[in-house]
Amino acid sequence: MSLEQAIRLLIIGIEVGSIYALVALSVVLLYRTSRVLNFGQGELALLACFLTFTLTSRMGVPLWLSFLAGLAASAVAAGAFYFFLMRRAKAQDPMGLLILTLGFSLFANGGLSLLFGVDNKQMPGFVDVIETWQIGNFSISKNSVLVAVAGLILMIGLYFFVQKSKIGLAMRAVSQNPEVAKALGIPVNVVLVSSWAVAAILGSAAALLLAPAISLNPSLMLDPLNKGFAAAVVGGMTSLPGAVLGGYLLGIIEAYVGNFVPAFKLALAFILVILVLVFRPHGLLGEKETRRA
Amino acid sequence: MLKLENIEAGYTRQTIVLRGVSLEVPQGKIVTLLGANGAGKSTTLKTIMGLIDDEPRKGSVTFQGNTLTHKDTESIARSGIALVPEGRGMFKDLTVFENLMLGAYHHTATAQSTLQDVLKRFPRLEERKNQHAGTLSGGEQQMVAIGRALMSRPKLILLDEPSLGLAPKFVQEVFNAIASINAEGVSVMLIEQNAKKALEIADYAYVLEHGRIVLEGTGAELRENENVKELYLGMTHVPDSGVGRFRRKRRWN
Repeated sequence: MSLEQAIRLLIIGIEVGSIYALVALSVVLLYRTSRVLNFGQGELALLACFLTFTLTSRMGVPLWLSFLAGLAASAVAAGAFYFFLMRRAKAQDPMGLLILTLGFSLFANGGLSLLFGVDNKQMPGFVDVIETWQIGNFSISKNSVLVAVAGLILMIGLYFFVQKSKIGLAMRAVSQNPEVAKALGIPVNVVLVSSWAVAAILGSAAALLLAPAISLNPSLMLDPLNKGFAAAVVGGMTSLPGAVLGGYLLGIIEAYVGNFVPAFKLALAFILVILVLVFRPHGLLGEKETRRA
Repeated sequence: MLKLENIEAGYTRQTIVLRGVSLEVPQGKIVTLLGANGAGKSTTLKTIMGLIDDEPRKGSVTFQGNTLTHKDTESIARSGIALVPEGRGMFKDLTVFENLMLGAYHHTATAQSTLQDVLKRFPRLEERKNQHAGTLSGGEQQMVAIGRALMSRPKLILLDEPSLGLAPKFVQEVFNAIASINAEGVSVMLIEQNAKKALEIADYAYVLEHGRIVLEGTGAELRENENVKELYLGMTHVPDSGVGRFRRKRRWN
């Protein structure tokens, strides 16, 4: 493998890795605050994509505005889903809630297919996906750079939100000890609604960054979501930095392995998951969890 | 100030823990609630804070004339009641500073000045400010828990076994802190295993057994009560021989 190709694969790995990292972050954020996995994450992201697509391509709204509208819509939908369904569900055990999100996912996917159709749509992007920058005889895809930089900005934004803002502090408190947080008068519902909304924004941003490079259809998020879950498990379900590490790691390994053994690419993420679960079940950066009976 | 009337509460429909508890915490006083494990002490505090869904099933809780029964925990906390939870309830991965600031979630305007008061009261926390709460000793964590409760400038503070598992030096420090907080006008409801210390600082005390109040009186009265002496103060008097060697039948009234 030439150096040039090694760099090209690294860039692809980082690009794909930032998508995985964003999805993994949304998974971990939600898992930490509300102890649940949301299978509906993909449909929330689809909602953002379809809305952005419809606003831009059909109604001529500027791309950045429809982009923001898409993110806002999925945030509102996620918050509402938590507030009206998850919070009121009588089955408060994680398994029951998991099934609830699975049901929501199937229902929403059907609904979105019905509304927007199952055909492949060309999602508009901020840059043309085939455009490249030439540095000497070396070319870099503009879209790859955009995805990587946008992903990085979102992750830094999330860091400051969680570490420095008041609601971020409350989120960390709720994730560690919900009952005590409640007794201190922290508005747990507001905290949980916002973490659902923020998780939806992360997942939707990943989808909106991904969609222009491939085509938009109701199964757009199937693969990224699987890989994002895998990245979250690899990094450690309880660790936000772990999710980022897991995402990039998976993206980069996949790029290199996929180059040599393309058939192996799909299974790779799950082989990593199996290895992690066998040898380091709490993930690379996650903390060992002592389970209360 | 705080009044519980005929509270019946439990955790599921089948179990009942509190079987008609009535008690009162007057303004500016320290009231202690004694009782063995499982008597319902923590359940009483949880019921006051509204931490158990759909409970109490009977009876009422009033605070400064307002009914708290079936209100949500957030508004109960905002009405001026702060809880120091059993086992200290630390957010272990957050710093001492962050733990304290969470106590002032709805009191942003006064947070800085209250923080200075708390750090003056517990100077040790000043040094530990940026450490994760989980790395502190039990006694220091208890100071964080009490300090965090004070951050909301409460009118009433509920303490759930604050001396449990602490070194003797810290036990004394915690009781001193409770007395001085009370001297500044905050009413206190104290649940304790350490009945001796609790009765020393309490103005009034209740004894809870199997979910019922079986005895009440001033701290001094209860210290002299034979049953309290035997059960909670560990002062058993067993004659060397004769009929007294049989276990004395306990009557509360």
